[in-house]
Amino acid sequence: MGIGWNKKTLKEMLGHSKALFKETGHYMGLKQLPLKEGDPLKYERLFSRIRGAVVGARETALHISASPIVRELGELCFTLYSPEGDSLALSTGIIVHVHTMSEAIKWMIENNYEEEVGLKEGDIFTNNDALIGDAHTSDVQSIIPVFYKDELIAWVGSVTHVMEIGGVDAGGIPITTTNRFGDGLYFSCEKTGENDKLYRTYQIRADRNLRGSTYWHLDEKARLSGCQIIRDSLKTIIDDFGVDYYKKFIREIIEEGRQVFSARVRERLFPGRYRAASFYDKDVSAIIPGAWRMTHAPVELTIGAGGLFKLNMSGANKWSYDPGNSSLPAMQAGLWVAVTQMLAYDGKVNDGAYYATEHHYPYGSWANPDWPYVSLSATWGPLMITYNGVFRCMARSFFSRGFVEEILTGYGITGLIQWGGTDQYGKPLGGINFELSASGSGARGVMDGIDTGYAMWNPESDMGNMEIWELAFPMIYLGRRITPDSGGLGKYRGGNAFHSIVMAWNSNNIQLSDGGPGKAFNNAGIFGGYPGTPVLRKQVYCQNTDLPEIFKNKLPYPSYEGDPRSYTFAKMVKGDQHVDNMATLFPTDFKPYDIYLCLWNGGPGYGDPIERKLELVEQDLNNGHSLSETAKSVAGVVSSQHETSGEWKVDVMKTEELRNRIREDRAKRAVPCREWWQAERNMVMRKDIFPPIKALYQESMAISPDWADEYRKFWELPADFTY
Amino acid sequence: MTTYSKEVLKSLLEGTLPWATTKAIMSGQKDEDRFEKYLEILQEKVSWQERIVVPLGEHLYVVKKIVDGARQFIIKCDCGHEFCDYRSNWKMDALIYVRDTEEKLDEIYPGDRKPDPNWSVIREYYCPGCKTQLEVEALPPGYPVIFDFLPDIEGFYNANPKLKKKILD
Repeated sequence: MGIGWNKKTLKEMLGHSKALFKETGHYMGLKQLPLKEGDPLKYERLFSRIRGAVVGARETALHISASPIVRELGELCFTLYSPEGDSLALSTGIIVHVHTMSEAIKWMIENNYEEEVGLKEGDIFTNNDALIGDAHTSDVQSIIPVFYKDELIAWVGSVTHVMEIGGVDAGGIPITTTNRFGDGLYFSCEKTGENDKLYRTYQIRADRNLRGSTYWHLDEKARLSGCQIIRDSLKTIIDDFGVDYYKKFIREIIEEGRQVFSARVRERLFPGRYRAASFYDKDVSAIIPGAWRMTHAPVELTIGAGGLFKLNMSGANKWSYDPGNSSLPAMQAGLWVAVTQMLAYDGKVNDGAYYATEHHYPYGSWANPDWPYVSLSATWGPLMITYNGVFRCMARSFFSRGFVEEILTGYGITGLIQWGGTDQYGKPLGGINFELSASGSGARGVMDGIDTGYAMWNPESDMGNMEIWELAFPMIYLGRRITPDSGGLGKYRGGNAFHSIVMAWNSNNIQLSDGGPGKAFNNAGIFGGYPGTPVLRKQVYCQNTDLPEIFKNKLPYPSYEGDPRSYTFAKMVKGDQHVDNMATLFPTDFKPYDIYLCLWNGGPGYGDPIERKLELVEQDLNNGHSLSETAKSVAGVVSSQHETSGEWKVDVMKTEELRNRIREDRAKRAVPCREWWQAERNMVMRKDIFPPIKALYQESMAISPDWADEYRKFWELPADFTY
Repeated sequence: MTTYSKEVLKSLLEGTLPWATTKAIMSGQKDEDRFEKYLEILQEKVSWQERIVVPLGEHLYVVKKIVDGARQFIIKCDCGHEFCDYRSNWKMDALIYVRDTEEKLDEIYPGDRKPDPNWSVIREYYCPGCKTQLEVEALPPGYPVIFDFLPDIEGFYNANPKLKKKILD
């Protein structure tokens, strides 16, 4: 006798659900929505009550108790699930986890938790295992079962991004780990409490294995209290509507989500085949000195006239011994968070959108690794570039249908600055500065991208207040400023990123690390727009500075990057200057008064830059969003600055002349593409390609024979050609 | 049914619509007649006669062309330059300029804001007619030219019979 509905086991319920979907293509076999059609007001009222409960719980919970990441930036979300683990309503926040927790619940059901672990009211489960259902170890989930009378009626899940996870290096996202064993504490759907109380042994484990557990416990309380608020609200709601109505409703609401998604595809996207490719270079010198490799994220999106939405990642290259791999649940969740921002973004969104999509992630690739001990610490690197490609494909599709206001060309991706050592209060320190949650978005189809205000993984992105981060870490901000031209230039430019200069402070044991790509572009524009700048490019910092003297004498101190060709800020301070040609700063000792330049990523552009409106260029020059040199060389705009007021003015006549000349110059320097193809093919035939790129092609061809065939076909290579 | 005038849609396309109106269009129900009006606006902008079937990009269209009495779908720039059949990658018939050195990249990405050209190059595709920059690719050397979009013209128009009669037949 099971704890599911009508004495069924949860396993039986899940099996039945899967079989019905496979057989009919409809969730639970529902082709009609009788409750919605019969009494739409009652149906919508119930949905609003549930939605209100999960959103309200989030807003309450983060004010009960939470780390700065959660409280300042809202790095949490809550979701209500069916007994089989399908989400029916979600809060705002890091909604990617709506689907990861679905996978975790299904994993518990399929692994017979009902009989072998036991499930009862008040039980608490903790999960952060991305091979089961998560993105990476620092996303910690609390999941509770909810019973109504004797039946399991629902699950409630919550996730927060934690500051520290006890990995091989400090902070939530270890960057020197080479496998699972350096990723930090793993909880694989572990039972960590009962009767609404966490096991004391579980809390001790956190206390003894994290670099400071205060924030961990605060976040845990936020997650649990929110889950309990939702559980209590749900029971009142079921009392009000009746359990029979509720049971039928949750089937319909998910099928409605599926139908709405397919209808959106038919309404807004042009059927056909779309392709894009994105890249993420990775410093793996933690394992092999000086070694780098690059993640290849090719996407093929097929849109069917009937509503098909199919993502194929054939050609993704191999996973590697570094933290930048992903897992199947994380990839699925990434797809979910992408489509819920681009297509199904209204309130009534749930796992129906997931059921409406198809996907293929090649086994053995970084997107679906075939080694169970692969590191998944920095999963978001490859995830972000993948869905940058998907956003581009969808942007083209919106354009073809005329829905230009929906176009978003992609986004800047995020690096990660993490602190370790001893904090300013004398306690062990591990934490990540979440100002990273505010990159530039890609350009839109009718306007520029959002400056310093977008993170693909949290639609409520925010950089947070400097003062909060200064409380959390032993450092002081010397300044934050827009990074000019960091967004890709175009008719509409990508949103610009910002940069910060931070100074280590008030501790004699500080380690700083920063990880991200820097050798290659991580996004791309469309219709002639350029990509945003690579994320990190170089590591710029200065140690043993003369800042004590500068402060004492009240002299100007460095507060912004300045000219990217000469680093104005570095000239304002004496000391051991580093402008190192590496994108990753492995944990490095910093002392008080050492300074570090934190760089973030801008979004990609849209359209030919020489078609950019002059008033937009002038506005950018006067607001510090663009350098006059790039305005001239890229957008073809001639401008001058007033000697006293400093105001920039565009010279319309000279600009017109220059733009005409740029067109002429293009004709002079370009060659017919087929001519270029011949020369490039010769290079390919000679295999005269930079070794890490050659390795990328070799791996992609080995894992995906269909991608290899296309590669050979394009370059007209022999059938046995390989790298 | 939600609908917008051609004047409003034209302003939207030109990026001159006030933000409040643009936001209302983003947040509201979509207008069912958008595609039809969109094609009309685009058709009025070009000087040539071929019927636009699918807008492919800011300056590119799949158009219907009758050659020797037979219907063909070809890719055409708004300047009038004709590329190829829509099932082929038009980029192969474009002009290309590759920024594969630090010096060439520096014009766009000054100083340390550029990638390493061993890892990532910029390929700029220009229209041979008007020299407009139609696409930019950011790829490693040796990567095939990306075929961005192959529209399913029959699938789309079969699902929209009225449009099919007006545009294709």
